[in-house]
Amino acid sequence: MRPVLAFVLLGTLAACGPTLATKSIISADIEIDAARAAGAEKTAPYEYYAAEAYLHEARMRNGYAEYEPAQDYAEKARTLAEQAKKKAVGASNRPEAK
Amino acid sequence: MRWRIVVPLLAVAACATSGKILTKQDVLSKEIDKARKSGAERCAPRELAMAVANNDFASTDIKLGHATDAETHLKVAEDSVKKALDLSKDCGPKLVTVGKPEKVIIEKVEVKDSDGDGIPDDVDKCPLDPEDKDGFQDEDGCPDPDNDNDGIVDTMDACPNNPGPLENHGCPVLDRDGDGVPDTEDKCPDVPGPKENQGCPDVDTDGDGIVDRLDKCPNEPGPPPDGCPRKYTLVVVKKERIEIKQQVKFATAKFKVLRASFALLNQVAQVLKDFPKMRVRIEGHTDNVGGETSNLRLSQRRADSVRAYLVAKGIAPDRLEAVGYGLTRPIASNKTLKGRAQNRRTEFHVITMTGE
Repeated sequence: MRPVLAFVLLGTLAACGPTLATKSIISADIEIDAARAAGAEKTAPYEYYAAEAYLHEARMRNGYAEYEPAQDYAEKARTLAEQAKKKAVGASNRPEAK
Repeated sequence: MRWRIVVPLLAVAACATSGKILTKQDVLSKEIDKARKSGAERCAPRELAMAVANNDFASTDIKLGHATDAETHLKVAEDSVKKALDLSKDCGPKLVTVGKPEKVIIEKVEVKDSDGDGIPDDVDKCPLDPEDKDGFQDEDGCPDPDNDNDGIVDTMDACPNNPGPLENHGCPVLDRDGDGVPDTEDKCPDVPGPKENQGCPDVDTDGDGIVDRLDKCPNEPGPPPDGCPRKYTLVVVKKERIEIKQQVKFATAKFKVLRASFALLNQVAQVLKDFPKMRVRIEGHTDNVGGETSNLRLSQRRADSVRAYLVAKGIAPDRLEAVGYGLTRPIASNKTLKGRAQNRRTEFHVITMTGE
């Protein structure tokens, strides 16, 4: 029984990599869409473009089954997109200079 | 068996590539910092973002051992940072002047130094490789890993600016006396001498032209090849003279050599043949009977006769000098019969044994 149990456990753990990476990529993608909607492309371009670059790389790594870096990059992309969105929202709330 | 060669070669190649990439990345990181300080985040945000991200990707590739991918990312990052630097040239905060603006002189000189070695790119022959600043050709901007080009890198070279072999830790091998024996092995470093004699000059005790090292009889002059004296019956070869065991006989008051002395002179000729570089002075001497002038003339003619005999036996004339001294150099008393007989003599003085 034990070998079967170990096999099942290992299989489950191995399946975690792609799942976690994919989940992070989707999450980052949503966040970047939100930042774009908030106008981050113009108000927080550095963070916005960095987020896009990291997300692109995360997708590439995921495709090459490099799940760990894929997840890391997706996380970075999400963080940068959040920052971009925050800046964009902050800029839109600022009163127009007269 | 082939893998034993291929695997280490691949490992060495991988190490070399990895080192090169790391150096490139180090330079790139400095460039990114510079761009950031120039305000690229504001004036070239997209380019700066691409540079930072691709530099980060390259780091991961290096960790994973993906050299080719790392290089691709570094290339993108390099191009991006260059664009970022270009776009942020005029990105600094505007200078605000209060009052008398005409006195303010704004002069901005953009000095680009890609490798951060303090030498601007326009004069830096190696703009991407930082100068090593080791006091050797530091002005060209190129690193000099082996200043003296002796094949030993400066970090391992005890004399980085003077070429020398590895055995001597990269330092030159000194040979002060230029005899081909390095000073470290030369027992006489200031006097030239052959290697066989530990760099010390050879000695020729008996002066026969054969150095003691090669002379089987170093204390007795002898001809080549062994330097040992020949067994002459009528003459003895010494360092300074050829001693004759009997006198050269001449007719009374004449200068013609008598037949009785031929054997003796033949041996003298043989000595001269055995020592082909020997030069000899033939001296003629007389007693005090007769006039001084006539004795001088007679002694000269007798010396000339001996010389002529030896030349006739095949000895080169330029190896023989003939000098008549007359009665001026007696070796015994002229008052006795025996003494006068001793003073009437012919001597063979060695001028040189070796031709020097």
